[in-house]
Amino acid sequence: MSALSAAQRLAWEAQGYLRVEGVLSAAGIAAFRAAADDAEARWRRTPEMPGCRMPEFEEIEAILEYNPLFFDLVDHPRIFPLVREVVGPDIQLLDHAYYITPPGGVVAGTAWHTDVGRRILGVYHARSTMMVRVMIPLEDVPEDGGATLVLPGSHRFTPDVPVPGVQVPEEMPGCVRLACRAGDVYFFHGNVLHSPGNNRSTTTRRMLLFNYGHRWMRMWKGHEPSSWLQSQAATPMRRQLLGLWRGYYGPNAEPTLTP
Amino acid sequence: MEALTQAQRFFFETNGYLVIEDALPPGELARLRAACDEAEALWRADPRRRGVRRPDLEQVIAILEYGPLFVEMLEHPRIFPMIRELLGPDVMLLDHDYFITPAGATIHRGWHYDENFPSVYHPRSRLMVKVFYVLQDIDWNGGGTVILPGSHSYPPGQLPNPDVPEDMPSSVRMALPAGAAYLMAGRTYHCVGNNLTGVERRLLIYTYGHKWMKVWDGYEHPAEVLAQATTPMRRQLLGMTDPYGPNAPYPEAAEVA
Repeated sequence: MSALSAAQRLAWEAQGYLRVEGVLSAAGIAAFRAAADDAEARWRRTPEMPGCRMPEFEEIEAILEYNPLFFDLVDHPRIFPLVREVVGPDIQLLDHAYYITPPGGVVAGTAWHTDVGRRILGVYHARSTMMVRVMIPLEDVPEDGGATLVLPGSHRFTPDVPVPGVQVPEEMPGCVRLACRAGDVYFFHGNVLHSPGNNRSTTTRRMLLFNYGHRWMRMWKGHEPSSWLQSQAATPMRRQLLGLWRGYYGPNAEPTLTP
Repeated sequence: MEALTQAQRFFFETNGYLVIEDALPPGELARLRAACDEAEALWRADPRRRGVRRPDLEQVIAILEYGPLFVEMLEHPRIFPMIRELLGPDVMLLDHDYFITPAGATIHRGWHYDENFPSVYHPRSRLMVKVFYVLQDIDWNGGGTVILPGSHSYPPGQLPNPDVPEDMPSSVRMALPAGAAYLMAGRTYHCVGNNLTGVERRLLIYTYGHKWMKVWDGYEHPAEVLAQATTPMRRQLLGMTDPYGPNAPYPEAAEVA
Protein backbone atom coordinates (compact mmCIF):
# COMPACT_ATOMS: atom_id res chain seq x y z
CA MET A 1 0.00 0.00 0.00
CA SER A 2 1.25 3.44 -0.89
CA ALA A 3 1.99 5.86 1.93
CA LEU A 4 1.41 8.81 -0.39
CA SER A 5 -2.11 9.52 -1.50
CA ALA A 6 -2.67 9.80 -5.26
CA ALA A 7 -2.87 13.58 -4.90
CA GLN A 8 0.36 13.70 -2.91
CA ARG A 9 2.13 11.50 -5.44
CA LEU A 10 1.01 13.69 -8.30
CA ALA A 11 2.05 16.86 -6.47
CA TRP A 12 5.42 15.37 -5.63
CA GLU A 13 6.13 14.23 -9.17
CA ALA A 14 5.01 17.53 -10.66
CA GLN A 15 6.38 20.00 -8.14
CA GLY A 16 9.25 18.24 -6.38
CA TYR A 17 8.08 19.21 -2.93
CA LEU A 18 5.24 18.37 -0.58
CA ARG A 19 3.68 20.01 2.44
CA VAL A 20 1.94 18.10 5.21
CA GLU A 21 0.02 20.22 7.68
CA GLY A 22 -0.55 19.58 11.33
CA VAL A 23 1.88 16.72 11.77
CA LEU A 24 2.87 17.57 15.32
CA SER A 25 0.43 18.20 18.15
CA ALA A 26 0.76 21.23 20.40
CA ALA A 27 2.33 19.03 23.05
CA GLY A 28 4.72 17.58 20.49
CA ILE A 29 5.76 21.01 19.28
CA ALA A 30 6.41 22.10 22.87
CA ALA A 31 8.51 19.03 23.60
CA PHE A 32 10.65 19.38 20.48
CA ARG A 33 11.00 23.10 21.01
CA ALA A 34 12.20 22.51 24.57
CA ALA A 35 14.73 19.98 23.30
CA ALA A 36 15.85 22.43 20.61
CA ASP A 37 16.18 25.25 23.17
CA ASP A 38 18.29 23.00 25.33
CA ALA A 39 20.48 22.06 22.36
CA GLU A 40 20.83 25.70 21.40
CA ALA A 41 21.90 26.66 24.92
CA ARG A 42 24.55 23.93 24.97
CA TRP A 43 25.78 24.89 21.53
CA ARG A 44 26.10 28.57 22.50
CA ARG A 45 28.00 27.66 25.64
CA THR A 46 30.43 25.49 23.70
CA PRO A 47 31.92 27.29 20.69
CA GLU A 48 33.81 24.20 19.54
CA MET A 49 30.55 22.37 18.86
CA PRO A 50 30.10 22.17 15.08
CA GLY A 51 27.94 24.61 13.23
CA CYS A 52 27.66 27.93 11.50
CA ARG A 53 27.81 31.10 13.61
CA MET A 54 26.95 34.13 11.51
CA PRO A 55 24.77 37.02 12.70
CA GLU A 56 22.21 36.40 9.96
CA PHE A 57 22.21 32.62 10.15
CA GLU A 58 23.07 29.99 12.73
CA GLU A 59 23.19 26.26 12.14
CA ILE A 60 23.62 23.65 14.82
CA GLU A 61 25.06 20.70 12.94
CA ALA A 62 24.27 17.09 13.78
CA ILE A 63 21.27 17.93 15.93
CA LEU A 64 20.56 14.25 16.65
CA GLU A 65 23.63 14.24 18.87
CA TYR A 66 21.91 16.58 21.32
CA ASN A 67 18.81 14.73 22.43
CA PRO A 68 17.30 11.28 21.82
CA LEU A 69 13.91 12.91 21.32
CA PHE A 70 14.94 14.15 17.88
CA PHE A 71 15.18 10.58 16.66
CA ASP A 72 11.39 10.43 16.95
CA LEU A 73 11.23 12.91 14.10
CA VAL A 74 13.61 10.95 11.87
CA ASP A 75 11.20 8.02 11.62
CA HIS A 76 8.01 9.85 12.53
CA PRO A 77 5.02 7.69 11.58
CA ARG A 78 3.26 10.45 9.66
CA ILE A 79 6.28 11.62 7.68
CA PHE A 80 8.84 8.89 7.37
CA PRO A 81 6.68 6.51 5.28
CA LEU A 82 6.15 9.30 2.77
CA VAL A 83 9.84 10.12 2.58
CA ARG A 84 10.82 6.46 2.39
CA GLU A 85 8.46 6.02 -0.51
CA VAL A 86 10.01 8.83 -2.55
CA VAL A 87 13.61 7.99 -1.65
CA GLY A 88 13.32 4.21 -1.70
CA PRO A 89 13.71 1.39 0.82
CA ASP A 90 17.50 1.89 0.92
CA ILE A 91 16.97 5.22 2.68
CA GLN A 92 19.64 6.59 5.02
CA LEU A 93 20.23 9.92 6.73
CA LEU A 94 22.99 12.08 5.26
CA ASP A 95 22.90 15.09 7.55
CA HIS A 96 20.72 16.80 10.14
CA ALA A 97 20.70 20.22 11.69
CA TYR A 98 18.81 22.95 13.50
CA TYR A 99 18.58 26.25 11.60
CA ILE A 100 18.09 29.55 13.36
CA THR A 101 17.48 32.58 11.14
CA PRO A 102 17.05 35.83 13.07
CA PRO A 103 15.18 38.75 11.50
CA GLY A 104 17.10 41.35 9.55
CA GLY A 105 19.62 39.28 7.64
CA VAL A 106 20.02 39.92 3.93
CA VAL A 107 19.93 37.00 1.51
CA ALA A 108 21.10 37.69 -2.05
CA GLY A 109 19.57 36.26 -5.20
CA THR A 110 22.65 34.12 -5.70
CA ALA A 111 21.44 31.92 -2.82
CA TRP A 112 19.33 29.86 -5.23
CA HIS A 113 20.79 26.36 -5.52
CA THR A 114 20.06 22.66 -5.58
CA ASP A 115 21.35 20.31 -2.91
CA VAL A 116 22.73 17.80 -5.38
CA GLY A 117 24.00 19.89 -8.28
CA ARG A 118 27.57 20.54 -7.20
CA ARG A 119 27.92 17.73 -4.73
CA ILE A 120 26.64 14.63 -6.49
CA LEU A 121 28.53 14.28 -9.75
CA GLY A 122 27.86 11.50 -12.23
CA VAL A 123 24.08 11.35 -11.78
CA TYR A 124 21.42 12.54 -14.21
CA HIS A 125 19.42 14.36 -11.57
CA ALA A 126 16.47 15.30 -13.74
CA ARG A 127 15.27 11.70 -13.53
CA SER A 128 16.93 10.48 -10.34
CA THR A 129 16.23 10.96 -6.63
CA MET A 130 19.43 11.17 -4.65
CA MET A 131 18.33 13.30 -1.69
CA VAL A 132 15.14 14.46 -0.03
CA ARG A 133 15.31 17.12 2.63
CA VAL A 134 12.69 17.28 5.38
CA MET A 135 12.08 20.61 7.12
CA ILE A 136 10.21 20.85 10.41
CA PRO A 137 9.42 24.36 11.67
CA LEU A 138 9.30 24.85 15.42
CA GLU A 139 7.84 28.37 15.07
CA ASP A 140 5.29 29.72 12.64
CA VAL A 141 7.07 31.00 9.52
CA PRO A 142 5.15 33.73 7.67
CA GLU A 143 5.82 34.44 4.01
CA ASP A 144 8.21 37.26 4.86
CA GLY A 145 9.73 35.40 7.78
CA GLY A 146 12.56 33.67 5.93
CA ALA A 147 10.30 31.01 4.46
CA THR A 148 12.10 28.61 2.14
CA LEU A 149 11.54 29.51 -1.51
CA VAL A 150 11.22 26.71 -4.03
CA LEU A 151 10.87 26.71 -7.79
CA PRO A 152 8.17 24.09 -8.46
CA GLY A 153 9.04 21.50 -11.08
CA SER A 154 12.72 22.43 -11.19
CA HIS A 155 13.70 18.97 -9.92
CA ARG A 156 13.20 17.84 -13.53
CA PHE A 157 15.46 20.54 -14.94
CA THR A 158 18.40 19.36 -17.00
CA PRO A 159 21.68 21.17 -16.38
CA ASP A 160 21.26 23.25 -19.52
CA VAL A 161 18.02 24.92 -18.40
CA PRO A 162 18.84 28.63 -17.95
CA VAL A 163 17.90 29.99 -14.55
CA PRO A 164 17.41 33.75 -14.39
CA GLY A 165 19.67 35.79 -12.16
CA VAL A 166 17.82 37.83 -9.53
CA GLN A 167 18.84 40.46 -7.03
CA VAL A 168 16.93 38.96 -4.13
CA PRO A 169 15.62 35.41 -3.88
CA GLU A 170 11.98 36.47 -3.79
CA GLU A 171 12.28 37.87 -7.34
CA MET A 172 12.69 34.43 -8.93
CA PRO A 173 9.83 34.05 -11.43
CA GLY A 174 7.40 31.31 -10.48
CA CYS A 175 8.83 30.64 -7.05
CA VAL A 176 6.69 29.62 -4.10
CA ARG A 177 7.25 30.72 -0.50
CA LEU A 178 6.80 27.82 1.89
CA ALA A 179 5.14 29.72 4.71
CA CYS A 180 4.15 27.25 7.40
CA ARG A 181 2.92 26.76 10.93
CA ALA A 182 4.84 25.15 13.74
CA GLY A 183 3.98 21.46 13.54
CA ASP A 184 3.70 21.39 9.76
CA VAL A 185 6.31 19.53 7.76
CA TYR A 186 7.53 20.00 4.20
CA PHE A 187 10.08 18.13 2.18
CA PHE A 188 11.68 18.64 -1.19
CA HIS A 189 13.69 16.80 -3.83
CA GLY A 190 17.44 17.37 -3.78
CA ASN A 191 17.35 18.69 -7.35
CA VAL A 192 14.72 21.33 -6.63
CA LEU A 193 16.02 24.86 -6.94
CA HIS A 194 15.49 26.55 -3.61
CA SER A 195 16.72 29.43 -1.51
CA PRO A 196 16.30 30.76 1.98
CA GLY A 197 14.02 33.76 1.99
CA ASN A 198 14.74 37.08 3.66
CA ASN A 199 13.44 37.24 7.19
CA ARG A 200 11.72 40.62 7.29
CA SER A 201 9.42 39.64 10.15
CA THR A 202 10.08 40.18 13.82
CA THR A 203 10.34 36.47 14.60
CA THR A 204 13.35 34.17 14.47
CA ARG A 205 12.85 31.29 12.07
CA ARG A 206 13.54 27.97 13.78
CA MET A 207 13.71 24.87 11.68
CA LEU A 208 14.87 21.29 12.15
CA LEU A 209 16.09 19.60 9.01
CA PHE A 210 16.80 16.00 8.13
CA ASN A 211 18.39 15.20 4.80
CA TYR A 212 17.85 11.67 3.51
CA GLY A 213 19.73 9.79 0.80
CA HIS A 214 20.63 6.16 0.21
CA ARG A 215 22.52 3.65 2.32
CA TRP A 216 25.26 3.38 -0.31
CA MET A 217 26.04 7.09 0.05
CA ARG A 218 28.51 8.52 2.53
CA MET A 219 27.32 10.66 5.42
CA TRP A 220 27.93 14.36 5.40
CA LYS A 221 31.28 15.18 7.00
CA GLY A 222 30.84 15.53 10.76
CA HIS A 223 27.62 13.51 10.82
CA GLU A 224 29.12 10.09 11.42
CA PRO A 225 27.13 9.00 14.50
CA SER A 226 28.86 9.07 17.86
CA SER A 227 28.84 5.92 19.98
CA TRP A 228 26.11 7.53 22.07
CA LEU A 229 23.94 8.15 19.01
CA GLN A 230 24.61 4.65 17.72
CA SER A 231 23.31 3.31 21.03
CA GLN A 232 20.01 5.10 20.37
CA ALA A 233 19.42 3.16 17.16
CA ALA A 234 17.14 0.57 18.69
CA THR A 235 15.52 -0.72 15.49
CA PRO A 236 16.95 -2.08 12.24
CA MET A 237 15.58 0.92 10.37
CA ARG A 238 17.23 3.33 12.77
CA ARG A 239 20.49 1.47 12.29
CA GLN A 240 20.11 1.78 8.53
CA LEU A 241 19.24 5.46 8.87
CA LEU A 242 22.45 6.09 10.80
CA GLY A 243 24.57 4.26 8.25
CA LEU A 244 25.11 1.24 10.50
CA TRP A 245 23.95 -1.10 7.74
CA ARG A 246 25.66 -2.64 4.77
CA GLY A 247 26.07 -0.18 1.94
CA TYR A 248 25.42 -2.26 -1.12
CA TYR A 249 24.68 -5.88 -0.28
CA GLY A 250 21.84 -7.54 1.52
CA PRO A 251 18.26 -6.54 2.18
CA ASN A 252 17.10 -3.15 3.33
CA ALA A 253 15.85 -2.71 6.87
CA GLU A 254 12.14 -3.11 7.27
CA PRO A 255 10.41 -0.08 8.72
CA THR A 256 9.59 -0.25 12.41
CA LEU A 257 7.45 2.73 13.12
CA THR A 258 6.90 4.31 16.46
CA PRO A 259 3.19 3.95 17.25
CA MET B 1 44.98 18.42 -22.22
CA GLU B 2 42.55 15.55 -22.31
CA ALA B 3 43.63 12.04 -21.39
CA LEU B 4 41.32 10.34 -23.85
CA THR B 5 41.66 11.00 -27.55
CA GLN B 6 38.54 12.13 -29.32
CA ALA B 7 38.23 8.69 -30.89
CA GLN B 8 38.59 6.94 -27.52
CA ARG B 9 36.00 9.19 -25.92
CA PHE B 10 33.59 8.65 -28.78
CA PHE B 11 34.08 4.89 -28.60
CA PHE B 12 33.49 4.78 -24.84
CA GLU B 13 30.42 7.01 -24.96
CA THR B 14 28.97 4.90 -27.76
CA ASN B 15 29.86 1.43 -26.52
CA GLY B 16 30.31 1.70 -22.75
CA TYR B 17 33.80 0.21 -22.82
CA LEU B 18 37.25 0.91 -24.22
CA VAL B 19 40.31 -1.24 -24.86
CA ILE B 20 43.84 0.11 -24.38
CA GLU B 21 46.03 -2.54 -25.97
CA ASP B 22 49.42 -1.40 -24.71
CA ALA B 23 48.56 -0.15 -21.25
CA LEU B 24 51.38 -2.01 -19.49
CA PRO B 25 54.85 -2.15 -21.04
CA PRO B 26 56.62 -5.54 -20.67
CA GLY B 27 58.69 -4.58 -17.62
CA GLU B 28 55.71 -3.20 -15.77
CA LEU B 29 53.62 -6.21 -16.71
CA ALA B 30 56.30 -8.53 -15.34
CA ARG B 31 56.52 -6.66 -12.04
CA LEU B 32 52.76 -6.64 -11.67
CA ARG B 33 52.44 -10.31 -12.51
CA ALA B 34 55.15 -11.15 -9.95
CA ALA B 35 53.32 -9.13 -7.30
CA CYS B 36 50.08 -10.94 -8.16
CA ASP B 37 51.78 -14.33 -7.96
CA GLU B 38 53.06 -13.42 -4.52
CA ALA B 39 49.62 -12.22 -3.43
CA GLU B 40 48.04 -15.40 -4.76
CA ALA B 41 50.51 -17.54 -2.83
CA LEU B 42 49.74 -15.69 0.41
CA TRP B 43 46.02 -16.00 -0.24
CA ARG B 44 46.16 -19.73 -0.99
CA ALA B 45 48.28 -20.37 2.08
CA ASP B 46 45.74 -18.77 4.40
CA PRO B 47 42.08 -19.67 3.87
CA ARG B 48 41.08 -16.98 6.36
CA ARG B 49 42.05 -14.33 3.84
CA ARG B 50 39.00 -12.87 2.18
CA GLY B 51 38.07 -14.07 -1.25
CA VAL B 52 35.96 -16.29 -3.43
CA ARG B 53 37.14 -19.89 -3.70
CA ARG B 54 34.94 -21.64 -6.24
CA PRO B 55 35.75 -24.01 -9.06
CA ASP B 56 34.59 -21.42 -11.60
CA LEU B 57 36.14 -18.33 -9.97
CA GLU B 58 38.90 -17.42 -7.57
CA GLN B 59 38.90 -13.86 -6.33
CA VAL B 60 41.54 -12.36 -4.10
CA ILE B 61 39.53 -9.61 -2.42
CA ALA B 62 41.09 -6.26 -1.49
CA ILE B 63 44.29 -6.63 -3.47
CA LEU B 64 45.61 -3.29 -2.17
CA GLU B 65 46.36 -5.07 1.08
CA TYR B 66 48.94 -7.27 -0.63
CA GLY B 67 51.61 -4.72 -1.46
CA PRO B 68 52.45 -1.13 -2.34
CA LEU B 69 52.56 -1.79 -6.08
CA PHE B 70 48.81 -2.35 -6.03
CA VAL B 71 48.33 1.03 -4.33
CA GLU B 72 50.54 2.71 -6.91
CA MET B 73 48.37 1.20 -9.66
CA LEU B 74 45.49 3.35 -8.39
CA GLU B 75 47.04 6.30 -10.14
CA HIS B 76 48.51 4.52 -13.13
CA PRO B 77 49.81 7.36 -15.31
CA ARG B 78 48.30 6.00 -18.52
CA ILE B 79 45.00 4.75 -17.25
CA PHE B 80 43.96 6.81 -14.24
CA PRO B 81 43.70 10.12 -16.12
CA MET B 82 41.25 8.43 -18.47
CA ILE B 83 39.15 7.16 -15.60
CA ARG B 84 39.16 10.53 -13.91
CA GLU B 85 38.07 12.11 -17.15
CA LEU B 86 35.19 9.65 -17.54
CA LEU B 87 33.97 9.87 -13.95
CA GLY B 88 34.91 13.38 -12.92
CA PRO B 89 37.23 15.08 -10.45
CA ASP B 90 35.45 13.46 -7.48
CA VAL B 91 36.70 9.98 -8.45
CA MET B 92 37.16 7.47 -5.62
CA LEU B 93 38.01 3.77 -5.42
CA LEU B 94 35.12 1.43 -4.59
CA ASP B 95 36.67 -2.03 -4.78
CA HIS B 96 39.79 -3.85 -6.00
CA ASP B 97 40.47 -7.51 -6.69
CA TYR B 98 42.65 -10.06 -8.39
CA PHE B 99 40.49 -12.42 -10.45
CA ILE B 100 41.57 -15.86 -11.54
CA THR B 101 39.20 -17.78 -13.79
CA PRO B 102 40.35 -21.39 -13.76
CA ALA B 103 40.67 -23.37 -16.94
CA GLY B 104 37.39 -25.10 -17.73
CA ALA B 105 35.24 -22.66 -15.73
CA THR B 106 31.74 -22.26 -17.13
CA ILE B 107 29.15 -19.61 -16.32
CA HIS B 108 25.39 -19.88 -16.63
CA ARG B 109 23.11 -16.86 -16.86
CA GLY B 110 25.75 -14.56 -15.47
CA TRP B 111 24.89 -11.39 -17.34
CA HIS B 112 24.53 -8.39 -15.07
CA TYR B 113 25.09 -4.70 -14.49
CA ASP B 114 27.50 -3.55 -11.79
CA GLU B 115 25.33 -0.52 -11.01
CA ASN B 116 21.60 -0.88 -10.77
CA PHE B 117 20.17 1.52 -8.21
CA PRO B 118 16.41 2.07 -8.53
CA SER B 119 16.67 5.73 -7.58
CA VAL B 120 19.17 6.54 -10.34
CA TYR B 121 18.35 7.02 -13.99
CA HIS B 122 21.23 4.96 -15.27
CA PRO B 123 21.07 5.50 -19.03
CA ARG B 124 22.37 9.03 -18.53
CA SER B 125 24.32 8.61 -15.31
CA ARG B 126 27.82 7.28 -14.72
CA LEU B 127 28.44 6.00 -11.23
CA MET B 128 31.24 3.53 -11.83
CA VAL B 129 34.04 2.77 -14.23
CA LYS B 130 35.93 -0.47 -13.87
CA VAL B 131 39.43 -1.07 -15.20
CA PHE B 132 40.65 -4.59 -15.97
CA TYR B 133 44.39 -5.12 -16.37
CA VAL B 134 45.07 -8.27 -18.40
CA LEU B 135 47.99 -10.17 -16.86
CA GLN B 136 47.96 -13.20 -19.12
CA ASP B 137 46.93 -13.57 -22.74
CA ILE B 138 43.20 -14.28 -23.03
CA ASP B 139 42.28 -16.53 -25.89
CA TRP B 140 39.01 -16.20 -27.82
CA ASN B 141 37.60 -19.03 -25.67
CA GLY B 142 39.60 -18.10 -22.60
CA GLY B 143 36.89 -16.68 -20.36
CA GLY B 144 37.29 -13.08 -21.45
CA THR B 145 34.60 -10.70 -20.27
CA VAL B 146 31.68 -10.67 -22.69
CA ILE B 147 30.21 -7.20 -23.16
CA LEU B 148 27.04 -5.94 -24.80
CA PRO B 149 28.17 -2.72 -26.51
CA GLY B 150 25.93 0.28 -25.97
CA SER B 151 23.93 -1.37 -23.20
CA HIS B 152 25.00 1.33 -20.72
CA SER B 153 22.54 3.63 -22.46
CA TYR B 154 19.61 1.24 -22.66
CA PRO B 155 16.43 2.34 -20.90
CA PRO B 156 15.55 0.40 -17.74
CA GLY B 157 14.06 -3.00 -18.43
CA GLN B 158 14.85 -6.66 -18.64
CA LEU B 159 17.60 -7.78 -21.00
CA PRO B 160 18.13 -11.39 -22.04
CA ASN B 161 20.38 -13.62 -19.96
CA PRO B 162 21.30 -16.60 -22.11
CA ASP B 163 22.52 -19.86 -20.59
CA VAL B 164 25.79 -19.55 -22.46
CA PRO B 165 27.30 -16.05 -22.06
CA GLU B 166 28.68 -16.00 -25.58
CA ASP B 167 25.20 -16.60 -27.02
CA MET B 168 24.19 -13.01 -26.27
CA PRO B 169 23.41 -11.38 -29.60
CA SER B 170 25.76 -8.56 -30.60
CA SER B 171 28.11 -9.21 -27.70
CA VAL B 172 31.89 -8.81 -27.92
CA ARG B 173 34.59 -10.81 -26.13
CA MET B 174 37.55 -9.25 -24.36
CA ALA B 175 40.09 -11.63 -25.89
CA LEU B 176 43.24 -9.58 -25.33
CA PRO B 177 46.98 -9.93 -24.92
CA ALA B 178 48.72 -9.57 -21.59
CA GLY B 179 49.51 -5.92 -20.94
CA ALA B 180 46.21 -4.68 -22.32
CA ALA B 181 43.62 -2.93 -20.18
CA TYR B 182 39.95 -2.33 -20.76
CA LEU B 183 37.62 0.16 -19.15
CA MET B 184 33.93 -0.53 -18.70
CA ALA B 185 31.07 1.64 -17.47
CA GLY B 186 29.30 0.23 -14.41
CA ARG B 187 26.05 0.21 -16.35
CA THR B 188 27.39 -1.82 -19.26
CA TYR B 189 25.74 -5.23 -19.36
CA HIS B 190 28.43 -7.90 -19.15
CA CYS B 191 29.31 -11.43 -18.12
CA VAL B 192 32.35 -13.55 -17.43
CA GLY B 193 32.91 -15.80 -20.41
CA ASN B 194 33.35 -19.57 -20.39
CA ASN B 195 36.99 -20.53 -20.15
CA LEU B 196 37.23 -23.44 -22.56
CA THR B 197 41.02 -23.29 -22.74
CA GLY B 198 43.61 -24.90 -20.54
CA VAL B 199 44.89 -21.54 -19.31
CA GLU B 200 43.73 -19.50 -16.34
CA ARG B 201 42.43 -16.01 -16.98
CA ARG B 202 44.19 -13.49 -14.73
CA LEU B 203 42.88 -9.97 -14.26
CA LEU B 204 43.61 -7.16 -11.85
CA ILE B 205 40.44 -5.14 -11.35
CA TYR B 206 39.82 -1.71 -9.84
CA THR B 207 36.34 -0.23 -9.65
CA TYR B 208 36.19 3.55 -9.39
CA GLY B 209 33.16 5.59 -8.41
CA HIS B 210 32.54 8.96 -6.79
CA LYS B 211 33.68 10.15 -3.39
CA TRP B 212 30.12 10.65 -2.20
CA MET B 213 29.63 6.88 -2.54
CA LYS B 214 30.58 4.36 0.13
CA VAL B 215 33.41 1.93 -0.39
CA TRP B 216 32.02 -1.46 -1.38
CA ASP B 217 31.08 -3.66 1.58
CA GLY B 218 34.12 -5.52 2.88
CA TYR B 219 36.65 -3.24 1.21
CA GLU B 220 37.06 -0.69 4.00
CA HIS B 221 40.77 0.07 3.99
CA PRO B 222 42.98 -1.01 6.90
CA ALA B 223 45.43 1.42 8.48
CA GLU B 224 48.43 0.05 6.58
CA VAL B 225 46.77 0.87 3.27
CA LEU B 226 45.62 4.30 4.41
CA ALA B 227 49.18 5.04 5.49
CA GLN B 228 50.18 4.86 1.83
CA ALA B 229 47.92 7.77 0.91
CA THR B 230 50.80 10.13 0.30
CA THR B 231 49.11 12.47 -2.20
CA PRO B 232 45.85 14.44 -2.06
CA MET B 233 44.45 12.30 -4.86
CA ARG B 234 45.32 9.09 -3.08
CA ARG B 235 43.60 10.40 0.03
CA GLN B 236 40.52 11.04 -2.06
CA LEU B 237 40.76 7.69 -3.83
CA LEU B 238 40.91 5.90 -0.48
CA GLY B 239 37.92 7.77 0.91
CA MET B 240 39.83 9.94 3.36
CA THR B 241 38.46 13.32 2.23
CA ASP B 242 35.20 15.20 2.69
CA PRO B 243 32.63 13.31 0.56
CA TYR B 244 30.80 16.50 -0.37
CA GLY B 245 33.67 18.98 -0.18
CA PRO B 246 36.29 20.15 -2.68
CA ASN B 247 37.95 17.61 -4.95
CA ALA B 248 41.62 16.76 -4.77
CA PRO B 249 43.85 18.64 -7.20
CA TYR B 250 45.31 16.48 -9.89
CA PRO B 251 47.85 17.27 -12.62
CA GLU B 252 46.74 17.34 -16.20
CA ALA B 253 47.54 14.20 -18.18
CA ALA B 254 50.23 16.02 -20.14
CA GLU B 255 52.10 16.90 -16.96
CA VAL B 256 52.01 13.33 -15.69
CA ALA B 257 53.17 11.63 -18.85
